[in-house]
Amino acid sequence: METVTRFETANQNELESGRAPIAIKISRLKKKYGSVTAVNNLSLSVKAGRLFGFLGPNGAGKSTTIGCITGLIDPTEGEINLLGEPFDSNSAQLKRRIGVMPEGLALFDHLYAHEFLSFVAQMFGLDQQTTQRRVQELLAVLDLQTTGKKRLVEYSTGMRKKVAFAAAIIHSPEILFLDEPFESIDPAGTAMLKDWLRRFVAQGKTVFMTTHVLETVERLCDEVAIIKAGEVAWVGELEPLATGKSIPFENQQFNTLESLFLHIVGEHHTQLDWL
Amino acid sequence: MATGTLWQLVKLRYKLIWAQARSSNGRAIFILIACCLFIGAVIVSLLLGILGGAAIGALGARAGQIVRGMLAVLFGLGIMTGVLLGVGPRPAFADSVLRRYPLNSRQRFISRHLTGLLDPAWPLLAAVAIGLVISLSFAGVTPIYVAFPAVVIMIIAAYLLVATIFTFMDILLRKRGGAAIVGILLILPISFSGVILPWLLNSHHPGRYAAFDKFLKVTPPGTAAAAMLDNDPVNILLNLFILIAWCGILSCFLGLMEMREANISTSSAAVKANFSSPYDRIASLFGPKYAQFAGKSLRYYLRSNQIRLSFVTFLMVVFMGPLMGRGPAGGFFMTMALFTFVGFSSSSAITSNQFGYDGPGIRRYVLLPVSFGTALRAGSFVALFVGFLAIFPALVLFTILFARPFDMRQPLILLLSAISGLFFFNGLALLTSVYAPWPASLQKVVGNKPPLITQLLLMVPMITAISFGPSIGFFVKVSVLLDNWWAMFVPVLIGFAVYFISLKLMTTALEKRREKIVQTIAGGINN
Repeated sequence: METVTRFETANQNELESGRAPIAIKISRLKKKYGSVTAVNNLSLSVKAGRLFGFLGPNGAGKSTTIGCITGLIDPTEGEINLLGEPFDSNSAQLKRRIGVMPEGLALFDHLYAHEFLSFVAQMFGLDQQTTQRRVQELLAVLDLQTTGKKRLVEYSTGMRKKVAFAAAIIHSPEILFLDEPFESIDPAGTAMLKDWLRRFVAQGKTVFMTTHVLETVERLCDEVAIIKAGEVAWVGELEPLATGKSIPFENQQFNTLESLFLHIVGEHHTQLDWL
Repeated sequence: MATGTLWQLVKLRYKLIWAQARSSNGRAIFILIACCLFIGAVIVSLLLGILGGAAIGALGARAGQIVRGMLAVLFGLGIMTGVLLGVGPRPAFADSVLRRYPLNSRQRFISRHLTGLLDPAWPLLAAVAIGLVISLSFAGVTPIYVAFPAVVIMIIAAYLLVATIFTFMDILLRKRGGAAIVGILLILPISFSGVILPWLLNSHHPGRYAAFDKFLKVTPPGTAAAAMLDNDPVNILLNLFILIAWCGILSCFLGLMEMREANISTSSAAVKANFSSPYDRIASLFGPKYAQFAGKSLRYYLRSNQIRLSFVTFLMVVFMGPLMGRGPAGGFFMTMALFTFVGFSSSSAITSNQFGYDGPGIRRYVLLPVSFGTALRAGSFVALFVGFLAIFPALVLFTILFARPFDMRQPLILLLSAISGLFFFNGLALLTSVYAPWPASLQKVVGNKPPLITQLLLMVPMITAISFGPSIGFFVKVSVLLDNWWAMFVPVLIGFAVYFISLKLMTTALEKRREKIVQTIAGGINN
């Protein structure tokens, strides 16, 4: 691992014994927009070396939460600790140790892919030689080398996602925040990214991601939080589902993440008689 | 057409202006400043028109020529407005958006250009024209019921002409090598005007100017002037008909251009991955702290069609000074006034809206391990650099064409004037970038329009400079200015002070307004 860090990344023993240090700690996070409360009193802890799924219906506050814990948005109240240190939007040193694929992807549309990735890499402190090598490798493995001749504005949605993913990992971060990473990426690309994420957490690094594809979460994530109306409704391990067992919640047993999710957020079957 | 739908869209345009103002932090201040500036600008414009009209009334016999000249200047101001502030509909009224509503292509065309025409800059121009009409009617030169429709239709024709030219340039600029073609199309007439004007005005061949004058009479300002000054009802109607015909023809052209524009592929030129491009080498001059941001900014400046166009079109100010200023002194002082914004205006589209072209990419600045203010400062330094580069072609052109007899102090004074303006307007541009950002498209020449506050903040000093700059000639002789050329360091220092203070204040303000700016730019389309 190239990044020098004060944070003790979880080793294999710790990962296996479940004693890994806390990589992400959110305490009583609140974000208000005027009179509207988008996130309310949200507290969560994610251990290092985990692939954490952050789920919720549209408008539940997922992107706002990711925005707050990556410095995009200033929380109204609450504390955020990343890698054992307090974090806010001015924590420049901590920002060097995290990678973010935000909502909207945050690409500079009128740059070429190699220009954009070089820009990000050098902003995160990589030297020119390392930057060049990593950019070329990433463009090659993500199948973007030929399309690298187009400006990002001309890329398809899936290709743009790949570039944003590359920008999030190019500096070898210790925590990766991904806002809906797999939507629009082709199956081969998705399989590769999943593989990378598994390897990433196997090294003791942490992934915090949101997605609406519950099947992916069920297969990929170790732990999940479901939020509803800005508050955590459920947090738990997904291990029982992987071993064919069910998850107990409110005196019921759930065999799939989807059934649990729909139970928590509420199913809607309203009929429109004019449709 | 469904008049109700059209009316709803016009109402929507103004609701969006109101919503934009309402969403800002200091909404009360915003509206107050906007209203004061707008009212102030209207009063100044009306006064200018009235004064101009009174002067024409006194001139009697030459009234025809002068009215036509003034209307031509108004027409020219329309083109300047278009270059500086953008023309055409905002993206919220673009054809692709209007297609969502039950409107056919003709109705969509009318809707988007009516909302484009009702944007504040054009009514401001109309106010100047109406001021002129009122004063002319008081002076008994023209009846108001003829002059009023004539100038209003002329303003509409000016809008349509600018929109047509810009759409045509947009089409050219999107093609490979298009920027070079546009450059040649603009530079050629500029380069030859130094030859053409004396050729036309040669007193030994009066027929040349007479032929040219005939052409001028059928242009929109010429026709409007003819309608206003003629006493024969048939001629008045004929001239008004020609004006309406101009609007009709230009609308047809514009419609065809827009259809053509919609079918253009926007693919950019292929590029080989280059990790040490000239952009990066120039950017490294800004130091390690700013180099990466500077490299990104430089690419954006030079990849913007609007900037490429502005770079060329603003060379025209060199010709406007001697043409618009009265007498040799007035001409030089007018040129001096125009030079105050030559550097800034060549790149104002991005400079006054530094983050507006980033779209959702604006979030990237916040994710980076440096302060947002660093990006603002780097962008502003690049703006100064680009603006500074733009001054020199204008200076060279002026020196070659007009500096006779050559006196080194003349270009020096113009350079100092340009530098003072560059600092001053970049100071204002920092303010607009932080307090009135708007989402814009780097690929478009048409439709990138700043909000009202930005338009006023930039237009009012420019109109003031153009209006009052030549008046200096009444109090100070050019020779006195040349002898005391060093006095031009005073405006440079003032400009620098404005810039420096603005840079300090806006870097702090940016951090406070970060979320709002990100929301505005990443959130959606320009209203």
